[in-house]
Amino acid sequence: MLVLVKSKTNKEKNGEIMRNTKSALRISILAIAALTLSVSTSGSVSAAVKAGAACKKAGQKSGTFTCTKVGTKLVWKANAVKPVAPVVPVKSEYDLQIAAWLKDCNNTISVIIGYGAGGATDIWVRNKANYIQTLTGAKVNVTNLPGAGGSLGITKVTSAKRNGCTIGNVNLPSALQYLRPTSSVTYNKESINFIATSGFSSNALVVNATSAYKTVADLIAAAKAAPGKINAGSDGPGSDDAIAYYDVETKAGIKLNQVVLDGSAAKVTALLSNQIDFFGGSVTGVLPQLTNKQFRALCVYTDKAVKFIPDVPTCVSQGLNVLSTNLWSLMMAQGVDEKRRQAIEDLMIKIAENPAYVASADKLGIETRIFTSDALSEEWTRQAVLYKGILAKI
Amino acid sequence: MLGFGHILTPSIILYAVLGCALGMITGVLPGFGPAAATGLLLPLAFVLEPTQSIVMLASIYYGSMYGGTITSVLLNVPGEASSVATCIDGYQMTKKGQAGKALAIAAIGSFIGGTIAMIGLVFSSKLADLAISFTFLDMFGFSLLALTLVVGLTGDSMIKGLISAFLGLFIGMVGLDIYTGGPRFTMGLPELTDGISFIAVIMGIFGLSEILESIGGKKQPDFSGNIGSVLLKWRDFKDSFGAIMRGTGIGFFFGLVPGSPAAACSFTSYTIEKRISKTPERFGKGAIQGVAGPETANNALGISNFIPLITLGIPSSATMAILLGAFTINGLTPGPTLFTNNPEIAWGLIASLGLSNVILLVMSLPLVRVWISILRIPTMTLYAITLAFMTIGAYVISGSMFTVLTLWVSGLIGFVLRRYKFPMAPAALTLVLGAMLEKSFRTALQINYGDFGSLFSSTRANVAYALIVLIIGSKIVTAVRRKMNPKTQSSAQKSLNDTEEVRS
Repeated sequence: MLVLVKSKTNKEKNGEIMRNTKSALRISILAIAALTLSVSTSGSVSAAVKAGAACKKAGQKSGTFTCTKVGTKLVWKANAVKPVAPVVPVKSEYDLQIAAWLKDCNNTISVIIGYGAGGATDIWVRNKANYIQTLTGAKVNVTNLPGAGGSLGITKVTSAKRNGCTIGNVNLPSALQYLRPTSSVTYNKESINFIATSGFSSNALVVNATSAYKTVADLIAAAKAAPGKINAGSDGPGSDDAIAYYDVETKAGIKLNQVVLDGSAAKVTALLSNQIDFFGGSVTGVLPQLTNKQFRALCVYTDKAVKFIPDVPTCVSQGLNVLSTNLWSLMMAQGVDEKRRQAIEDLMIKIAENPAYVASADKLGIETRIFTSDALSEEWTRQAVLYKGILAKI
Repeated sequence: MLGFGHILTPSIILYAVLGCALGMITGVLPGFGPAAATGLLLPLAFVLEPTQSIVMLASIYYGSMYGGTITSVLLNVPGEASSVATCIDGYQMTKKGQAGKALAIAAIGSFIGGTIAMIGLVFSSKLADLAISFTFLDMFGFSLLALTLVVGLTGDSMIKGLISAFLGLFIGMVGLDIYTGGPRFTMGLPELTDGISFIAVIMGIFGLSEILESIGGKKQPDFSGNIGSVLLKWRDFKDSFGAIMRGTGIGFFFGLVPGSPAAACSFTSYTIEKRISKTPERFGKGAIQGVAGPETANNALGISNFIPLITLGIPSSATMAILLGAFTINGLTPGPTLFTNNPEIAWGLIASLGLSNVILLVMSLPLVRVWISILRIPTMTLYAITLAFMTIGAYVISGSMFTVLTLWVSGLIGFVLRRYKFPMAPAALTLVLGAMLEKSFRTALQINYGDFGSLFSSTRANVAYALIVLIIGSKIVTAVRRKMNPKTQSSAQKSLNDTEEVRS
């Protein structure tokens, strides 16, 4: 028997499944018929209740009939049909606000990116813009206005009309450059109206794959043995990586030799050619080299592991209590109606919660972590205090 | 073979043709360079197939290398940064009725340079190590050598040439000093933080000043009766062959080394051609080698620029950064694993560049006649159209009127310099090389803990220093000889005057 069962062909199996299905169907049909019968039977029980038929107690109700005294007789009378209001979908405050926003903007939203085309910020914002377009049906015009570390774009957006039709990007910590004593930037935190953000990338401490430094401890030990002789690639004084190096130096009790390189491509080239020993750069930027095993990440400057490189420990867990991250966010001019701002923020949160969006951001090497405008404002203040403190010491 | 098999589908060929045509138009429109065009079309990467979008963007980039020549030759307006050197002799050829020849040799040189560079690209994985073996010290040596060649561009007056060179250096210094984080000559203007737009300045001092001078001159040039032949003679090709071969080598080398600006590459080719020429006095007055060399170098660089991108994931220019963006949008990782994980993309890209090279040659040569017919437009109308396009182009660079202002101010400065017979080329060269020299010098010193002695620790840099000594030495010897034998000097002056007459 066992042999026979085992030797059943697929065709036989399918036949069996069909037979089982047919039986199930028969049972279902019987059950439905029984139910129908019971309902019709109950209907016949109450068949005596009809308009004009005699009833016994005034006020007694049966279905849509009420026992009513007409003249001297008690008879069943159909209930008065209450006029039913047409079903109008109730629009939420969100829907109303978004509709008003789009109407004011002639269904066209302008998005200004303070960086050039092709970079991480540009791609992140454009991806977001595609989703704004899909979810609202609005036409979204994206313009790049690169210059002065993103500040030209911020200035343009903060001076736009207060209707929310122009939104732009603001990156933290690079937007903190207004705190530098030499800065010619005209905006500050108060001139920026935050919208929730979701783009997040931790900075990572990376070495060449051929480097002798396998752990953070190796690097710190080498720096202690040769003060000022370990070359760290940097974007220059006041940049976020230089600030992080200062924090590393203070907390690890070491002295590094910061080598200023013009942009991330120059840092990557210098590390590939072993002209520098390591650098701290955003995981998004170094992901190609990490994937290709040209670089090795010793640790990530964030509170928990980064999803794209889950095996890399946090710097904190390696005894180096340094945090350095990048947040990509959207913002608009101050003075936009708060209800409208909140609706736009809700829209951004909806986008950030969309699994397809998260998958597309993952492709860019950018994590999706939602920060409301209040949380972003708090984070801004926290980083500004830290930044000002370190700038004062430098 | 996998690449060609993958690329030779009707849709990919269509995207390559479309990209080439768009690239060519991009190159022709002054100021509207490949970075602007690819940036504008980058969103296509969200909707097209990875190979389609990457092939199209790469074709736009490469097409602009061909297209940039046209306005440089016909109107003295560089269509994009790498065509600046072409203006010097290309426009003089137009004035002599040889616009067709200039455009034809540029197309042929570009094809040869691009094709040879393609062979290098096929072996790109072998060249990746070479690309990153160049240190900041080497780069310092090379940029110093290139800057020394500026001596060859000074023209009749060394003093005026040097003033022009210093002007270029000064303009290049404006902006944020990344080494100290402090602003330099920015006058508190945030628009100047990233420096002055190179292409706006170049359009101003070359193109706009030319227009201003012509309008202000006694006799306006009339090109309509002086279009000349478009056919190249065997002699033209023979004269240009060496320049094309050297241009290929120079372009390939510059493209291979990350961080070498394209404009520096075409200038280096130009100055080398002038230096080794038996008739250097013909340069600046319509020498065909002065067009063939830089244009070939420009296209060889266009191809070899892909080597650091696809083998190391390093973008060498703004356009390459945009292409890197197209890779990222499609979840692709450029680098050594691209050839193993996504061979259809890596080889498809290489094959598409080969295809683009052929498409562009086929497009360019028959179009030479069409392009030079632009010169039949009455000069003043042509100038008005050019000015309008330059202004729009300048606006497109940054999306702000500040760059338009930069163009106009540069035009006025160029006009004044022309009036007083200052050469323009040294300013353009130092504008490009100044930043490269400063960065390589300061970074090399930082890497070597501020030790000046380390500047002599690189063999490549030492070879460059030796060549600099030779160049300066030979210049001094020539000057001393001329001083001792005034007869030679007067005959040289005579030959110069003769060419001047031909020019006017």
